[in-house]
Amino acid sequence: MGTHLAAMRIPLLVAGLLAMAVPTRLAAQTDYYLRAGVTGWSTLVSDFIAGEVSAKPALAPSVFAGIGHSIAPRYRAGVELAASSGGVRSRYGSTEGDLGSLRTASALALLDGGIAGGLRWQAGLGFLHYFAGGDAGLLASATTRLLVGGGVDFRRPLLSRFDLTIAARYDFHRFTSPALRSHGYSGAQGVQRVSLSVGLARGYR
Amino acid sequence: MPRMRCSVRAALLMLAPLAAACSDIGAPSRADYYEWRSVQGTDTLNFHWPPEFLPVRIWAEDQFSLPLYADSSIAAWKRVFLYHEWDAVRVTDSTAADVIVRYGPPPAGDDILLDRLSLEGRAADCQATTLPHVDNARQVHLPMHVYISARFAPELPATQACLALTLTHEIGHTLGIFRHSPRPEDLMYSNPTVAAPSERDRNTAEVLYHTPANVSPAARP
Repeated sequence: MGTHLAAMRIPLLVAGLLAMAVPTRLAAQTDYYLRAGVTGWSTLVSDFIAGEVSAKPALAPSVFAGIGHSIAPRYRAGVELAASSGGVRSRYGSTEGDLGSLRTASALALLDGGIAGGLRWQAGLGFLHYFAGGDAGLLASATTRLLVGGGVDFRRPLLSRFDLTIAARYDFHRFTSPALRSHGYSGAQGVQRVSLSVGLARGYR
Repeated sequence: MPRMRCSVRAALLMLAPLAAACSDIGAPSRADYYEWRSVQGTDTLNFHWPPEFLPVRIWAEDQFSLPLYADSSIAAWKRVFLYHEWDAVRVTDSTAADVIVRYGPPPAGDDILLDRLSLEGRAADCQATTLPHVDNARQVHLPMHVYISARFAPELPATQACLALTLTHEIGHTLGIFRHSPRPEDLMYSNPTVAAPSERDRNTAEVLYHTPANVSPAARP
């Protein structure tokens, strides 16, 4: 996981710079946040080659950055960017193999509403991008997929101007890749992801 | 009531993608493959490189662009595998190699080998022999040797193309395809004319790497 944390340096830097770039005198209706956490994946590909074969990403360090704006008394609209980097393992028979690293970035347009207290729900639509990984294999080329997601987050005042925020996210997309298509695969695999993250939010109370 | 109907509709809309998320990808049929196992008397030899030997280390003699062709051969076969079942790198030190590719004919005689399996690929302008030395204990002695040579002037473009495709064919043997395809449109046909693995070559290599081997590589030199 250490190497994947190192691979997250650039997304973390970009997210940090974005957070710093947001003017300090934001309108009261606008908020922004930065969180770090982990993302768990369901199986990326279930296959059959003389026996069951599967490829499953490992738990991946992730970073989330977002901005939201009030659009109605109880609702906000916003954008959330996320990046994650982790390993992928294949399994067939008694063999377990390393398929290298899986780096993704996503952008979700979110609608956000209050539930109770500091608890809020989010739901949105966006894109998930897989970066090319290696010179061969199912992730050799980059691909972008439609992403649907939602979740809840909880906020609690921590500092004078910052809230502690804890979020749980669920999203899914249908995965395929240029390598899979060139090998004759049809359709796509439904992939579900769950993430937990913690961070700071500012601007909306 | 209308508000409730709206909520139900919203809930159904949210659940629909969840149901879609459960479906699987459609894998291609890999039924179209050829026999890759070598039959030695009453014994059937099935070899592939175990994960702990990957990447396979290939050394190619610096003659008539053989290192360049070794690189392209490795790349061509790597593309066949989706799950990194086989991997190889070219090394510059022949003493650290699992596979040695030399320019020239194979040596005569097999006095140090308990068993000798000779797989020949023959294209119009060149020829090659791969010698995976399998002993009675069903172990492949390392390094494997590949001998490749031109029938005519090796610097001619047609001969160079022949060397490139024949080396890709021979690397196919080293990864465990110990027999030839019966079809001329496959790279692993005995007299290959295509430059890259066909769909049937790919199916064969994939099925080979997902079938338990009964031959293993001996310890690395």
